[in-house]
Amino acid sequence: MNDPPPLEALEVGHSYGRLAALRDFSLTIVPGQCVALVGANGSGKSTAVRTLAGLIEPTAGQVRIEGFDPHREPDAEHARERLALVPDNPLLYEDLTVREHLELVTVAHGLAGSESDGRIDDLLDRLGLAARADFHPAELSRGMRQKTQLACALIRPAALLLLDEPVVGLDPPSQALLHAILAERKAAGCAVLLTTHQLGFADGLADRGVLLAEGEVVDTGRYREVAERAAAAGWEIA
Amino acid sequence: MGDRVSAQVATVRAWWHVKRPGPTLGARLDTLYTVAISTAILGALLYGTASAALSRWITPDTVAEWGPAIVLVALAVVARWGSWQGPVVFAEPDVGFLLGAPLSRRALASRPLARAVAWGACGGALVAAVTLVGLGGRGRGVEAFEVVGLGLGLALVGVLAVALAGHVECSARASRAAAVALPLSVVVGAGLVVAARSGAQTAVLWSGPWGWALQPEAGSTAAAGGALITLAVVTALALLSAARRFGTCPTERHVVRAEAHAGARASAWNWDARTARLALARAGGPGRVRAGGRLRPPRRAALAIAWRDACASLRAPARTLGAIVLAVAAGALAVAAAPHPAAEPIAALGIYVAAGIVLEPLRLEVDHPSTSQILLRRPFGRILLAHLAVPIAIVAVAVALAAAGVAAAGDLPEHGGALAVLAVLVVPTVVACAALSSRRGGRVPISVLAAGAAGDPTGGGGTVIAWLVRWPAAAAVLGALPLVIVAQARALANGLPLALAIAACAPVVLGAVLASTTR
Repeated sequence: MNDPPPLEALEVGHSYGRLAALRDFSLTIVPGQCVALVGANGSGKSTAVRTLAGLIEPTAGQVRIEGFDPHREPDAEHARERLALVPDNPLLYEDLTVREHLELVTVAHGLAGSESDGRIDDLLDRLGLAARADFHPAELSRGMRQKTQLACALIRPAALLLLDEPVVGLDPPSQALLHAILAERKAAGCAVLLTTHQLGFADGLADRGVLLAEGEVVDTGRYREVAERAAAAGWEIA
Repeated sequence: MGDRVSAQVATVRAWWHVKRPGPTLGARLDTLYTVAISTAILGALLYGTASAALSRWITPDTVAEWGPAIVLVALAVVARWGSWQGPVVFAEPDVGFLLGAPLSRRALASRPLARAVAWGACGGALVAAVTLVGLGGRGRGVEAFEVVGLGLGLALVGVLAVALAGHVECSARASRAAAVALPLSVVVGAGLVVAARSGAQTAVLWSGPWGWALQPEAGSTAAAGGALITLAVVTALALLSAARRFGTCPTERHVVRAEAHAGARASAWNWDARTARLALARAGGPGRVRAGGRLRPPRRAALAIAWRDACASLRAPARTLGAIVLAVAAGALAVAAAPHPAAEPIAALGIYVAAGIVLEPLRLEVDHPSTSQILLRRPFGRILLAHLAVPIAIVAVAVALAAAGVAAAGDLPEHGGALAVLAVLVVPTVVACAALSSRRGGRVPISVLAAGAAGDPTGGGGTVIAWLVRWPAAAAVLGALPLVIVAQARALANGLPLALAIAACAPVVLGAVLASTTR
């Protein structure tokens, strides 16, 4: 019997009142695959990611993370164990330091042990957060908070990595570092779904592209081809 | 140059006055007349009752013993207010338009500062009036010199407090000093009370502005004149210094206060006390990071939230200490004053407030429920339930210490041992009530406001108050009941089983309700 895929979304929809932010969204991602969700402002990218991550309830369709429904307990607990999310706006505890966030995630996911300190140090060092390890989120810049959120997602193993506009607020060297880290995760078998305005960031990383407009999938296929068609329609490949 | 920019400010004010004229002189006089006549009518009606009630507590002796300490703490509290707001808070557009223009900052700040000074003086005079009502009760009477002297003294203290708040508003260093000064003032105040009771009353009255203001009541006539002159000089110097400081106050400090004021006001209009408080707290800055004292994280996932709360408690020692002090006082009251029928509900409410103080991490969870969904694994209700562990531990230890202290002092009443144990056992119930209250967030739901407006004969006020006091009332009843049953029982065996059953079952039921919370 085949293992369920890291992400399976079937005709998912979400409406905010009379605004249908997402309609008939279907997507399957297999291990080691990266999908880039691209689209203009208000096209439904963030709604899609939040619905897939279980943050908001779909008004239609269903989502499965390795076979678990992220919207229904106790399934959702298993789904949360398997997916790691980096939201577009960092969501951190105001009273915990950067390092304590990573420690909390490792403890809460049952990964605390003698080697967890070393893993946290390595990750903080790699993301350029070591000097800010004892700072609170309110003392950090937008980019540093984004990196902290990213570190929280990367410190634990996950079958599916969801990143909503991960390059917003990051400087070019940090974007390059993120690109490299995601490529490593992908090579290690992690499924990745990211949203971005910057078509160039996903180049060389995404296998497939999905173009959203007005909450609907308007183009899908190999990423390079989707990006070229988007560029022909006026999108800039930075 | 200075005259020119001041003239520009006057020009801007004149233009503003034309575009947005304030209330006319007639309207202002009408308001003044309404306030004066209402005060006179209510004052005449309530004077007898107020005088009888206040005269029991406010006597020449209590003013001399407690007055300086209370004035000192009040000064520190008003000065601390400058950390979040202060006497000069511009509107958000003013920060962009007026502070961004080449206008004199000092001149721009002068009117709001003058208004705050007037409010400070009025506040001080009002306190003096209340004090004099108490002092004059029971046929004691007060002399004209005391009326004028105390009124002037406390009005000057009000102005001095506003000037100090102005300093705190303009300077990060003064803001940090005010944060330290507040708890310190409580300690020094306690020392002043002890010193005044030990016969060093004259020294206490000369120890600073807190004593000078009370000299007309507590000291000699000759000393009072000197003290008031000294106080007036110090107040004038502090006020001049504060006014000068507003000329160089960094724009950033005005920006954060303007944003905090706007945010708090918007939240208040939305009946959202929590967001209003957070908006004001943000103006105080992120606070200093406490280095060291890091707790090693546990290995068991089940302890993740407890560890996180313990870190937060260590990070905010003033908050934790405040809760402990309150819980100790409530615990002592619950055990020592058990025979009094009102003692247990009051003690339960004290424990409830103490629990509410250390439940801040749970409130943060409720503020942003998505954070735990992203970072943690367990269902939201289970996370909220796990947030009870540390507050229960802190409050229970404090109550146990209080009970031990009462026992050591030999003040245990009848069934004192059982009451001491029960006082600790009801802590989970009261903490769970505080958590269920915090779970609601700070905002009164629209459904409550709508229900109140529709069918409430009080016009909605009754429904909102009922919604607000639901969990404190539950804490007062469920927390006090086991203790009252034992305290009022003739034989311990008659009441103890029922009291233990309530203390054991209530937290289980309340915990189950909390655990069923969804995002």
